[in-house]
Amino acid sequence: MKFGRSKVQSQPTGASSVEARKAQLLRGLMEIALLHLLGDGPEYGLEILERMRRDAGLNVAEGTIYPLLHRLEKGGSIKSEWRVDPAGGRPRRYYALTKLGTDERQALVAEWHRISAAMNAFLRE
Amino acid sequence: MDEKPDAVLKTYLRQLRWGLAPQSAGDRDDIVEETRLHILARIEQGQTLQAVLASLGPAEVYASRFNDEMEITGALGSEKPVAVLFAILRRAHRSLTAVAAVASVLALSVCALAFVVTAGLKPFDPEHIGLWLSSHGSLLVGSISNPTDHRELLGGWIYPVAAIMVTIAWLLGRLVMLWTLRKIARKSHV
Repeated sequence: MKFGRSKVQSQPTGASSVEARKAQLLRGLMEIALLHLLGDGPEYGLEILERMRRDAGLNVAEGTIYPLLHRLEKGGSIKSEWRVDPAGGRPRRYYALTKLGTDERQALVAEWHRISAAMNAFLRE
Repeated sequence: MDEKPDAVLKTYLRQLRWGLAPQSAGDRDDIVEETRLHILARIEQGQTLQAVLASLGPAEVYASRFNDEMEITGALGSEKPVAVLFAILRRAHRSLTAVAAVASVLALSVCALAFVVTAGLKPFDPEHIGLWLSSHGSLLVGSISNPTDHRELLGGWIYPVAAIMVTIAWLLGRLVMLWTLRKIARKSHV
């Protein structure tokens, strides 16, 4: 399942309605996962995408990660810099949390733990 | 695809750069270069160029994601009413929420404007201009030709009431627009 914009923007009917709701549910999680991931240290776009898929279990569509990174950078939550691989590889743009992003990460992760615990208990009833 | 891979990649990146016209030259360069490096890294991992480009989506659609994100973030960050209003207007064709917000702001503005114009003209013709209550119970703000079957409600209070209406319209309109754009932003993040 990919959470692509085109799917989300179409008018949901029948089975696609479920997919659209799943996408809606996971939208906010992408941002939390991204901020949490960058809490481990600076990363570049492709590695962020892979870790969000592999570690966070979010099957993020390929074309959505960079617009999100640029939005967060413009909003002041993260910053970026180009680094040249000392081993002679291609340059990469690394993203890192700012002080604002670190605070947002703490607040969002705490809120996620609170909501998920409450929802898990509620859904088990 | 008959074109050579290099030509296909160059065409895609050129179209992406065109699509990113609303961005600054620096941002445009960064996005195009980052995209190029991403594509090359995927190819090194064994994917075909066509598969990588298909996963990113058409260049103009991919560019519009950056433009949308940047415009919304910029408008929300500045909270400038004009920037927020234009960001909402540009999405009115694909969002019922945006249409409702624009209609609400328009209604508030027209209402406030009616009070301001009435207050401005009141000194010139106080007998015919004001806030009127008809014998049928309907309210009218502005000028009437025959005041005998209407009762004027505000008199000199039209001035502070006009100021209050403008303040309410400004504050409420601003709140509606910011709430709307935040809602649109939440929907467009993935």
